[in-house]
Amino acid sequence: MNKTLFILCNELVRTITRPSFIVSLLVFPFIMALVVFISSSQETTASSPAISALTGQMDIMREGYIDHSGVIRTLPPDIDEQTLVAFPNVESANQALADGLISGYYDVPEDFISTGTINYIRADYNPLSGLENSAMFRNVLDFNLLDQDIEITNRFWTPIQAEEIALEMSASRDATNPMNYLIPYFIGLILYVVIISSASLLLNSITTEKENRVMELLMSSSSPMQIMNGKILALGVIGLVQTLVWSGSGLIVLNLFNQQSQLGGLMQIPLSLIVWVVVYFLLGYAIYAALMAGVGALVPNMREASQATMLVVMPLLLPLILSPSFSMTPDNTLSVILSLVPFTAPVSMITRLAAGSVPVWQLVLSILLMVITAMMITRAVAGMFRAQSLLAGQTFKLTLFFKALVGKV
Amino acid sequence: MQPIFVDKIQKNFGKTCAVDEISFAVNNEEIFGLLGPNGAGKTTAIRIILDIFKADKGSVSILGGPMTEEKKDHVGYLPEERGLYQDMPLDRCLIYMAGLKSLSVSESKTRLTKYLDRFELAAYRSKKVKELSKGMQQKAQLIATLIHEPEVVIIDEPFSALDPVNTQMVKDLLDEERKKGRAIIMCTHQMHQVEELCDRLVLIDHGRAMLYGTLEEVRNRYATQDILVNTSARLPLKITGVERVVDMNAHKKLVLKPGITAQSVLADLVRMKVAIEHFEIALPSLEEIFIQVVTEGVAKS
Repeated sequence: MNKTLFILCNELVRTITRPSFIVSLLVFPFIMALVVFISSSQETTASSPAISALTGQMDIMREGYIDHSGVIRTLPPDIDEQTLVAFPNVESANQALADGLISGYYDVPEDFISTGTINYIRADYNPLSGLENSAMFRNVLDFNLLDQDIEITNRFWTPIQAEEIALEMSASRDATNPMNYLIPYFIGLILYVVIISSASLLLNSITTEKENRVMELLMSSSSPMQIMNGKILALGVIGLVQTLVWSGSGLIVLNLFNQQSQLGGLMQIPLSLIVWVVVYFLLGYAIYAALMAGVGALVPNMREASQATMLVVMPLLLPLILSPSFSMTPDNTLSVILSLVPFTAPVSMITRLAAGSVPVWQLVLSILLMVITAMMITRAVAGMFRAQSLLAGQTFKLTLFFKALVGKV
Repeated sequence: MQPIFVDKIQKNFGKTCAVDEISFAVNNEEIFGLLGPNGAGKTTAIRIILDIFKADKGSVSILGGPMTEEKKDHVGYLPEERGLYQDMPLDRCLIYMAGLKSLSVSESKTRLTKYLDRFELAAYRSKKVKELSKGMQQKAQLIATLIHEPEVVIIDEPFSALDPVNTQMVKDLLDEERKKGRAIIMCTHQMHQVEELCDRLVLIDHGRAMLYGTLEEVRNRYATQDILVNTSARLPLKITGVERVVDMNAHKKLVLKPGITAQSVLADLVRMKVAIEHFEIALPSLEEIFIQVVTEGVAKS
């Protein structure tokens, strides 16, 4: 077997059998599911069985109402009188509430038509389980206001089922919808985490071999380039799997919870974004993995690497900090510049793509610049990845690292 | 064809000359001692032979030419700085090492079982390397060096951390490898092991080769006119040509005056009817030669 391939396979097995890797691969989708679950609960407090479970109420609670306005003449056909009980006066309703027969009741005042105000009375204060069936009671009111016509009521609730056809690729952003910046931020964050964690795995792998003193043995069997290529490719594959698992599970989770209609920003994210995420992961990883390999070649151990690592990852962190601004105005000058600069492009461009559309020329230029940069850095790092550096136990110096990068060592 | 031929290699690190025009050759069926004090340039010379470092000057021929990636599979190396993947189970670690020498996994497993049995490590094959004792790790490292049956073996301090039983086992193993026709370079500071095992040697000091040849040649070169004698009766007080007599544990050492030969002293002793039980030209031990060469080197520098 080719030695690069052999080192690649060994690196793959070593990494994916590590419990910490398996845990991190699974924990992220779990956290994402939890976040979506909680956000969905805020949208569908009344109807979601999930939130009912969260609040300890497995069944829809029985509620009551008192109608002083005379609007409610009959209940819609899908709501029975056991679920929503009519009370003639406050005293009887309070008695039922005190006896635990109902969880609360709606009091519709006489001036409801002019004010639109109703009161909801419950026994105690509970921020999570208040207004259990408010959507249902609104349905009751709408049904009666619309002359008990169930079809018109249904149309009133879901008036249109619009299919979007965009004539222009630029997206307009709704500043009031938090999802418009949260979703691009999370996608940028995923990419940042995957690139940095994969590149850090590479750094860790090299320094571990130095600390275990196996580097000399490896080099008596294979060349430094074979070692570097094997490791970079292996951890790239692992990072790619991580990217696909994390972003794929993210979409699955969103679909499972039927969030697309409620998270307005998500409607503008095409499935093709995953393809872009993969492309920018590969290019971003190529740049940052090569940089980390260079750091790994020069440091004697992981502790010495920490200072260098912070500086190396800084450019990738910058667009993440600026992400809210990118999301709301994806075409501003700073966003465009950062999405073209190869070191900031992965997170910047993906954030912009998640927030809206990006002109094709910018995508092409950014990819081209990243390819050139990755090639140049890999070449420079290959020079650092030689026996003398790998076997030396010298203290890491940042100036030496940058000099080595520009080929002056 | 000599499997290892080193021709005037030189290596500088900045202004320091680590290896200065060293030349030697190693034959098949030979254990060759590469000796020298700490920092003499032995490890650098080995790394040049293995193509880990490039020589600034000179050349190395391995198995008939420059080192190639393919030839690396025919070389076994036990470095001075022992290294194994501490968090890996022993068998997986050694199979990986064997794989790096292009040995198939199935073949590696078969050979590994034999080696683990021989080195009494079979019970520890699934243990993580870090759970093994230093001696066990040393034996594991030797397995990694030999498992792919290399034609050229380079071992640095093979006896460190080994008890006498395991030391003898490793000696037997090296002797077997020699008989199989391997060319073996052995670095060690244990001079009695060199005397026992090595056919030829080179002594390096300050990057330069100070001695080179067979063990006999080197010892003869440093031999003095002194004689070791053992007699059943007391030695006469005055022996012609003897400057002084030094008591040693088993023998008496006769230090001769300049120009006097051992034969003339022997003739004198016979003439005086001294009952001689043992008569030997006092050759210096390798350790004495080592100390003398290195001390002289320090004095010169």
